[in-house]
Amino acid sequence: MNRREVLRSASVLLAAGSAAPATAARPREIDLSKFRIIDCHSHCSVDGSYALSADEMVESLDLYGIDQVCCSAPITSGPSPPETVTARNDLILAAMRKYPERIMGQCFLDPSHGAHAQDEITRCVVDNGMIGVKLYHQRKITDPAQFPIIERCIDLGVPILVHAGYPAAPELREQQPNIATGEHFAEIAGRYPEAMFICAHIGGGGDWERQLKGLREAPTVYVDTSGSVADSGIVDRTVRELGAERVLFACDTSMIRGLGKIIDSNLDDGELRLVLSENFLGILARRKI
Amino acid sequence: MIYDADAWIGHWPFRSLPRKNAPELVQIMDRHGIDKALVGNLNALLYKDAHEANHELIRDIAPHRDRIVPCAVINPAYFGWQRDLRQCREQFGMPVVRILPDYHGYTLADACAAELVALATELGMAIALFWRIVDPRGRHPLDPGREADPAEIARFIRQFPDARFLLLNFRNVLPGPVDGAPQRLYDIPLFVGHNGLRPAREFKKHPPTTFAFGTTAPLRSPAAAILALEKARLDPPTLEAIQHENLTRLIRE
Repeated sequence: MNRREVLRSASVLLAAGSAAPATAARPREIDLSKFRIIDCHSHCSVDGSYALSADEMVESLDLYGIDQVCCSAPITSGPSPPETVTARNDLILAAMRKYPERIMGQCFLDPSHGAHAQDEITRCVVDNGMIGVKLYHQRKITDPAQFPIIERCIDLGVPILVHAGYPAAPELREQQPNIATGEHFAEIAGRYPEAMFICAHIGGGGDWERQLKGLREAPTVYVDTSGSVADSGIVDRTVRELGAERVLFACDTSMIRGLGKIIDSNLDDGELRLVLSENFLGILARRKI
Repeated sequence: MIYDADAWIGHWPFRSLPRKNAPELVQIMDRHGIDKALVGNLNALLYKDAHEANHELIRDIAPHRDRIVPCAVINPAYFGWQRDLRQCREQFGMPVVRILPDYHGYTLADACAAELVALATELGMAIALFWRIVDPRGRHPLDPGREADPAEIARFIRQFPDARFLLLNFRNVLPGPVDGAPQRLYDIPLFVGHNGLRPAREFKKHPPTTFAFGTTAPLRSPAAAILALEKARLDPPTLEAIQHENLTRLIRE
């Protein structure tokens, strides 16, 4: 069964309302099987040592009717020595090699190691086809240590996916003091309006309404829909505040909530096409290498 | 048939909800193929007299009683709650009482909590406990709700072997003898928050009598819970059990 057949099969199951023939939910209003779907923010590793294995990731993609996924393997706590960063990117390169039609790579970088970060961009993005860069919260996105990375990505025409959110409680903000807020994006996008920043996971856990307020002031920044938070109306509000042209579909491994948010939305077919793949394909088309 | 164990109407004071009254909840149910729902009134969380919200609920759902089964929200720290609970059961026909200690200023260790479970059980009602109402990472600073301590909840429910509990919005099945016991039933909304393969693994790891379908609508999108069941590739008896049979067996309408 090829991928399209898998998608058609998934569509039939959606319409029938059940993977088993026992009982029936009534047909869904949104049939996603007619859309190309790219998940622009997720995580895996070739061997399962980090998040899902590549095999599990592709099993999930088939199960949920997602065509392609972008994966990285960031270090989310503790020190990030260059050799560990390299090893994490190797996990992604191997996953890309195993499933070149399904898994795209994003190169994780720690801006604290400036020369190594540049070398990793050359190795992973220029020489081995990763589609962009992933920054976590080792430094604020507005930190000058990020500038050489941002400028290199502008030169190469590749996007920068940035771990982001506004933890509502002060104690949670203290745990991630460098996490990128909407205000940070407004500041850095003002400095680099030609950069393609992606604000990660509007549903990543935090005050997403406040995040939208900041992103309104950063008109060149995209936002992805991923995260485990599936508050009612979150996708509709995001599109209303920012416009469908700035919104990218993603799951960040939460495929069920990720797709559930889209199914629950009131986006029309044109908006769905933009969000589910066309906006991201437009980003990929700006690659200069 | 799909029977939702975890739905609400009413005003959530900390975020604007796209839909929140009874007709709108029925629209949500229709859109997602949900036949029936246990529904409480969010207004009860912050009213001084929570029982007024039960009166509102009965008024508001009157045209939809074939689809909406009303749930009481009772504050056992508020004087007169026993008469209110009896009215919920005997006059309003409510089969479940939801308790929310954080919102009503008591804990499960307080005597009133145990007294409520005892009376509810005597009245033939199930007791619904929540691990949390909303994700604390996005919590409004004035929202008193917190994530409950699973160990405290496990200790609490073990005190009442004859009581029937609905455990709503939990991240994990509690360890120990509550797992799979037919009088303790978990709904699934938080089990769907992780990778797309997890629900199937969770459903296989625990007895089919462990879970009920639940959405937390209209706070959250119901689509994820529907999708989780569809994609878990369950055998038909297990699917039927989770979609409605376990819940129907637990409560006495």
